Amino acid sequence: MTPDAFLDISKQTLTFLLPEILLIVAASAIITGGAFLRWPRRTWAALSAVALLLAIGVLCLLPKLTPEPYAAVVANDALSAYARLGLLLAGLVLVAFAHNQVDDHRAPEFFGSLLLIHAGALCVVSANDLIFLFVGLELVSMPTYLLLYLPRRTTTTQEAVTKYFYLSLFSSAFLLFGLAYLYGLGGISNLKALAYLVHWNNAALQLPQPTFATIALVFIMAGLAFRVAAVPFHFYAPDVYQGSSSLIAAMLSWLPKAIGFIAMLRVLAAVFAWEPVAAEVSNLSFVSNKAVLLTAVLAVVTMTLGNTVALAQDNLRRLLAYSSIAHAGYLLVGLAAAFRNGPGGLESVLGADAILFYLGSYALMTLGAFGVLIALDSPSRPVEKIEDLAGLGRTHPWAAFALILCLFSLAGVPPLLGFWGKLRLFQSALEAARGDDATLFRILTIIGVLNAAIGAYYYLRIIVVMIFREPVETLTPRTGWPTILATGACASLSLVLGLLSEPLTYASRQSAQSIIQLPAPGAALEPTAAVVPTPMPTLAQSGS
Amino acid sequence: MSTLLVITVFLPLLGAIVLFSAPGLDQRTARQLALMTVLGTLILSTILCLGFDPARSGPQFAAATDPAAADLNPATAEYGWRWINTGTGSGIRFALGLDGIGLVLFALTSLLMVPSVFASWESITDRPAMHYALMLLLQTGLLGLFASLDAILFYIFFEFTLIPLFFLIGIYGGPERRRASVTFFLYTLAGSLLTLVGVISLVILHHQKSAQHILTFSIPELTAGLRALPWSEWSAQATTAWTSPQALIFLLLFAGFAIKVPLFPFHTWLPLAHVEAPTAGSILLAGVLLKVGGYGFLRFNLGMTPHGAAYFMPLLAALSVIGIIYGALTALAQTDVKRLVAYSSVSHMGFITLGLFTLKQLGLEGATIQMINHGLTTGALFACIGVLYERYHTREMGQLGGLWARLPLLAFFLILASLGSAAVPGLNGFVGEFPILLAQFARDPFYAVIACIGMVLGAYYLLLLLRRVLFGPVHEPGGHDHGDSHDHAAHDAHHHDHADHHKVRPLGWHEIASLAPLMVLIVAIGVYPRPIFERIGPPLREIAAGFQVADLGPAVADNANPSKPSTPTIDADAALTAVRVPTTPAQDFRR
Repeated sequence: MTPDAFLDISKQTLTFLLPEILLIVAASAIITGGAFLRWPRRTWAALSAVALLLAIGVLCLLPKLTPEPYAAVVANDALSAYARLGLLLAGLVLVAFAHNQVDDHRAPEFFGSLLLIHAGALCVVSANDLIFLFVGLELVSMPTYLLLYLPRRTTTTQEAVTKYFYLSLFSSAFLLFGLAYLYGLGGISNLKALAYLVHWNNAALQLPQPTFATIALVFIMAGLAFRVAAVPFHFYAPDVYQGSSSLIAAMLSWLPKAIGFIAMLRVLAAVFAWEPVAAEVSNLSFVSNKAVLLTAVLAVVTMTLGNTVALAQDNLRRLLAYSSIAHAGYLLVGLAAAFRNGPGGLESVLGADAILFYLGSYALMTLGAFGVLIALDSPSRPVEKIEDLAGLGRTHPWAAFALILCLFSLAGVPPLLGFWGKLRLFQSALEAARGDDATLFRILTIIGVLNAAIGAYYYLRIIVVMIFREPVETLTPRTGWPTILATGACASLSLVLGLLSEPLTYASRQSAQSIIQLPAPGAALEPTAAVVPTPMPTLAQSGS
Repeated sequence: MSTLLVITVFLPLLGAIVLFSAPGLDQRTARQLALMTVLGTLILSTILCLGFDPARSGPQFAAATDPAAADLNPATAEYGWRWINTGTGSGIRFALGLDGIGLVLFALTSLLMVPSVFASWESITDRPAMHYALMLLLQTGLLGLFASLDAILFYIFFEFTLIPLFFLIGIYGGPERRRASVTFFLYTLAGSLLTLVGVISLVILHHQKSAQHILTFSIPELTAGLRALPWSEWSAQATTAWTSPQALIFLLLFAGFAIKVPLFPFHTWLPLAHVEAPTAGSILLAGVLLKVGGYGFLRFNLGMTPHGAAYFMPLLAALSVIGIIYGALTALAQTDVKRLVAYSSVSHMGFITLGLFTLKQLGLEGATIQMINHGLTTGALFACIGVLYERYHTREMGQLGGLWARLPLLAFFLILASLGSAAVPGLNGFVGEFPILLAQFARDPFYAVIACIGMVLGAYYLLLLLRRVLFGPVHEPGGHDHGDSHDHAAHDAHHHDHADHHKVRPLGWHEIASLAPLMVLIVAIGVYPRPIFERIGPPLREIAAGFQVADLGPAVADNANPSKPSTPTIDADAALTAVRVPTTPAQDFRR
């Protein structure tokens, strides 16, 4: 690599990372300023909102950047653009929820940590390099510990936080171990280059060490399964959700899941995706089959456990924790399909497409549901159990309406957004049902829909209590307009985007295709370019 | 006309939104607003019915992108507007259109809304605006469902109908309403999610295996395209018929529709939901929502997976017959009038599925018209029971008797509806059940004979109901003036007080207005069913053709082999066809 090219890549990368840099600067300023200034929490919330808005502005105004995909640490593709936008918007929602929820004297630390978490999340979704990805994930983890420790109200909270802390460290170690093996496969940490090597070698040299690849796969899955709260790394979720506030639960149910799945797509699905063509057996198909099997098993166990255990819950946050585990299971169905979506496929809905669409819809519905709980909660009359919502339809019809929209959307009832998410997930799985493991995908889909039916029960239970029961004790919400605005936006978008889902469909399809695409290597990447003089043949051709 | 169809479907939605946005509306305004919306929709549907051309096959009033091409080949045309881009193909489309089957059910929905509104006229006093809004929402769902030309759009309307009915039962229902609404919702949802998998499988199969790799969600195009696929080859490759793709997809599709119908072992949600639902909910549930299952069988199970249907036919006919007998016997054992009618629905829907799974055009026609008939008669029966309940606050047959003397007009309505339901010749039930039995007799006399026993039982429990409630000495619950305790009333009522003098409110204008049109139709269809047969004939002929084109194995071979001498099929079919619709001789001989 020439120094000129290197300089160019560095410049482009730094420009590309401006939103992240801006967030980190703002976070540092807020945390530092908090030590000297005694401002009310509203001010800190407003400052964070301004920082997020500025980051959105910078993101939209970024010039057209083309950092060399086979060398740069970031990928400027559709996924990074849409995912960063989505994360920043969801960040605004979280800030709106938080504006009157944290204590005044802890507000700067809280909002600073929240911004840092978002900066880390932005890094993860645009990462094109193993190390950068890991740094991004850690940038999410560290402030999360702080965020969880900040209220430290009771011993149960502390226990929950400690659980989270140790499991998180544990999972990071797993992840790092797996990433090291992945690096060992090709001696390169750039993800696009890795995918290129794996797919190219599929035809000519074979994937050198399928065993190494399998080890990498298993450990990376284990590390990221913690983030998305998939079985068997889900144990922390119910305790942490119940032990902390609704606000933290809202953040934890959305953000780690989003970055966890996008990281899985970038690191695993894009690298080991294999299009089942004409009974071709190769090392790649071996690894890909293992990946499908592993993901399918995880998906079945995760959604079944999440849904069945949620049936027995009375605590709202605990119920939503199990619901979030169940949704991780649905998303894993899409991931299994994504391992079958190699370049040159015929699918109309890619697994990655379905996952990204579902993440978008999940953000709206889960944040909306938590938003209603946050809005109704007050120290004198906390909203903890399902029974606390009795008669909400009569006392607070609009809050009930918003919660009904979000819950029906979570249950996947048309015409709400959640239905389209499930439709796309199951469609992608059925489209991947070709070749030897077609039956596996079919069974996976059927178990998935049956789980959706089971899941509908506990959402329905909340609605039944809200609408069909008489109020016991009136709630005394102390809500500010930002919370109402954010919750209303989430709930109404669940409906509106359900009727007009084209924008989300477009964004997720573009993003999914951008992950799979392997552009012809440029001149900057001499070693590969020397080995591969011609453009890469698609798998469909190489298989014949 | 295509715009008119869209307006008709969404007019109730507009009414619902208006009512929702004014939750504090008083009873009078709310019900008048609802009535106006319902009548407006009925008028628009009537215009659509009049504008329908029975001679044309294929969907009508559909906004085809290229009308000339749509006339030429209605199956592969592109209808409506693109809703969601699917990457390739014409996408998931917002496509509405009606063929004969859709039209009659569409009209039935518009019609039955009127008695539903009138049934709630006096009885709904708590949150009336919400009640009517939910009813109108349900109507939009049902109208859209019968008019959908897109599989996903169909499914959305199909599932969407659950939400308003869930709230209708849950908020306005009887004492067990919470359990009833949740059971209804979950049961139906579980089945329909499996149906969704079946629908997607069909779409994907068509996408992957059709010659041009067309990704389409259009129901006519899918039906035609799937028929062209080499199913026989795939079935031959499968180790058993069970594993042939159509059999599996048939079962997935079947799950949702069988629960909706409900077919015998899947019926457990129905009596509970019926008994707990408010009268309007019962009328719509029995009148229209159960038909959704039959409609789905026709469109998807029979239209798109004929091989699967042929394979499972014996099993399904057996289940239908069990349902007929079981429903009838259980109805006999009931003391609650509403519960009796609910179980009679299980029995009658058994007839409908029996007709569908004869896989003959005659049976399909009988089943389709029987859907209309069952909607009218059961809707009328539930409306009558609603009238009774409003006056006596009980539905126990033990506490009612001799009401002929008190409410002669109601007695007339109840008798006519019961006779129609019991398939007395000259009334509508006969027109539906006779072809079903005829077709089934040609297919398998054994099931036809058992189904006939079901008919006798049907007459028995309905007459029993009439005898206990209408005839004999007057026998009323202790009266609404002293207390609401029914137990007391039951004991007091042992001395048949002929001199009972407390007044029972006679039928109001709204009750007469809700029942009279149904009575007219019960007689009219019984005497002159031809307009309906003419309209449902062409689309059903296409569905039935699916069974003839394909080699369906020995079970249905006689369908494609009319020269078999031993069965009376030909004679019966031809004779009835000649009586019913004076078709051209060529059409008759083609059978």
